Amino acid sequence: MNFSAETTNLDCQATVASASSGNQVGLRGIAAILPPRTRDLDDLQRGGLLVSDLSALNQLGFEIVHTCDPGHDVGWLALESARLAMSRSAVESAEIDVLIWASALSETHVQSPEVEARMPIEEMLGRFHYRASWLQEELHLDNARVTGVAQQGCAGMFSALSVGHALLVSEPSLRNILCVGVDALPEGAPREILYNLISDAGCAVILSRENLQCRWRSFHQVSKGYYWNIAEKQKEIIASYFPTSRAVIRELLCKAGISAADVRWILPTGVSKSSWDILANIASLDPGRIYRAAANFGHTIAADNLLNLQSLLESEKALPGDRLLLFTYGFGSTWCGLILEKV
Amino acid sequence: MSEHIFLTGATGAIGLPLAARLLCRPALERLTVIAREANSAATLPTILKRIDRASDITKLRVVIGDITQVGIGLAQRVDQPPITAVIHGAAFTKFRDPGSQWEEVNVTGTRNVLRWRETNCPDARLIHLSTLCAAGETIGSIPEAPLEEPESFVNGYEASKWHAEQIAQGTGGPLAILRLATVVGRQSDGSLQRVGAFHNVLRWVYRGLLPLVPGDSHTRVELIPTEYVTEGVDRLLDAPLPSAPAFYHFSRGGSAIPLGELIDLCAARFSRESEVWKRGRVEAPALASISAFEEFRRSVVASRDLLFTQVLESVDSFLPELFFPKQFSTKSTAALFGGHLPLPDWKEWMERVLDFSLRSDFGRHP
Repeated sequence: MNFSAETTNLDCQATVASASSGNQVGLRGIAAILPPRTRDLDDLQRGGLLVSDLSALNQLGFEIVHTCDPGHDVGWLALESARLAMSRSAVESAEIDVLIWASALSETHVQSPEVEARMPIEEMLGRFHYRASWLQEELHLDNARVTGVAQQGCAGMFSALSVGHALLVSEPSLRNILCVGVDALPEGAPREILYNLISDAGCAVILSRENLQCRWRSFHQVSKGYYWNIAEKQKEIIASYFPTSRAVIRELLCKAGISAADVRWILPTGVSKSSWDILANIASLDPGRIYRAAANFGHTIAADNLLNLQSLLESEKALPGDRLLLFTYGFGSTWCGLILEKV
Repeated sequence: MSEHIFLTGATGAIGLPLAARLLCRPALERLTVIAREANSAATLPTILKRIDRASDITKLRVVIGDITQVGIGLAQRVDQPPITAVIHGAAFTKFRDPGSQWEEVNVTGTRNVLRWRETNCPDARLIHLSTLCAAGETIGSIPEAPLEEPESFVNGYEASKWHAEQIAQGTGGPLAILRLATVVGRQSDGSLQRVGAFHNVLRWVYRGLLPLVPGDSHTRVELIPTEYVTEGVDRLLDAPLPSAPAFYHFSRGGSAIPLGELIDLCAARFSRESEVWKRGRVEAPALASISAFEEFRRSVVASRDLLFTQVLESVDSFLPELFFPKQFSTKSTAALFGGHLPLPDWKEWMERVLDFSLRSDFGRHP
């Protein structure tokens, strides 16, 4: 990163030119949902599910979390968000050519057994009971090929979108790609990670070439395996967040061929609100353009940005031509940014 | 005329190289320094010799005392041969003060030293070492003259040093007040015996634990080499002093270092030293506005994270000053040095400071 001069990056300009063919692709349908059950800070503290003091989390802007229950589990989140995205985009099951499942937690990739395995081999086979395949069957996505994205933490859905976008650009025969991102913490797991309160949630996006709500402008991802050991590098991860985020956003804007001032809406994650004000400041973005859904849901692993994007689109505040910036960080570590343009 | 110089603060970051330099003065007959601990008295000659081999430590006398005490706690008379100059450099320079040492050392201590001088050597010239920080949150041009009381100060250290200047100005006899920029290392090899806030901040940056630095592309930092001060005091001892107090800014004047360029230089040096820096795994801190930095501070306070609280304490002791840009007049200082400020190419010098920092684990093993 160079502080002493504004970047005029010729490599980046070249990237803009070569990436322009991908601008015909975009988001056709968007859905993000939270499970209905909520728990407030007092409740979480009583349950021993917080690491920090209740007052500290209050000061950081957290109030409640949404958590799965037996009737609203990972499968429910996936099905509901996928169905909603399909209905909103008027895409039929048979028109989905690719299904990409994204989860941060390995157990979320696997369908829980309905009955307890009795033999070791049954237990072993159960580990191959993939959610993506289950979802394909549930939705009758008979023309879809299935794949998954993992090991990206909270950036998993961004990676799924990036892979889907790349497939549409590289394979003209593909029509619609359904990306589904779901994560739910195990029952009884701590609900606080690095000073952020975590909700369960699901989201789905249909990427397409037609009937777009938002056109794809640019994507940028930086991964730093140096930070793979979260327990050991926790402090370094926190400290690296801002400088690397700033660098990623600069490159993202450069790839899109726009300046920070051209960003009309910033769709944040649900990590502490103050961190977004800081990030906006250091990236020369206008913090007044941060859009949050009215409901305070804390931080979901996969769906924050899409919950906010969904709310923005429903509010009709976004106008055609508006540039939207979505950004997230995921354990691993991965920083991802996405620029969309409202159609 | 033979000299007898009385120096307070000889064991501090500036006092050590200053004492070593004074011991090289041909006219010096005696350098008396005051130390609070017998241990300091025992080790000081060795340290001074290490700093400058030319130091004549046979002229050094270390006396045990305490400037916070009336009569500065001396158990013995030290005014023979007659003292010709008093250099008051002792100060509590930490920017956080859980007790009341700013008041005790910087204000009461200065008052005690000056009273002692009035009693024991009223004609000795007084050189009072102050700081550019005494200008507090004042913004704009600062003349080499008495300071109006700033509306506010970044911290109590600044306020205490402003008060100390007022006390010094109230004394009789020839007086020079030197306001010093932050001294971060020798011009010759970048070394510093007693590191402070600057090196602590560097250490956090190197470890990848400082995410933000308050400032913008216009922010300048006032860092000077040790020799600027030691040579300046050396010259001042030979210069005629007017009857009215004389003021000097040992500052970079119009050539303060751009903060952004300084961070870039540090990052480049760290990248040559460390594989994780070279591979871009660790990035230099981002520049943040004062409001964004305060937001970060609130988050750290709210989280009660111990490590980041430590990081903030280091940053607080050095960086908030950056938000109150000043242009320090250096006309008198330049005249003292023969018409120009003794400033080396800052990038070459800073490379040496960084070399020393990395070699010594940021001053922990100098």
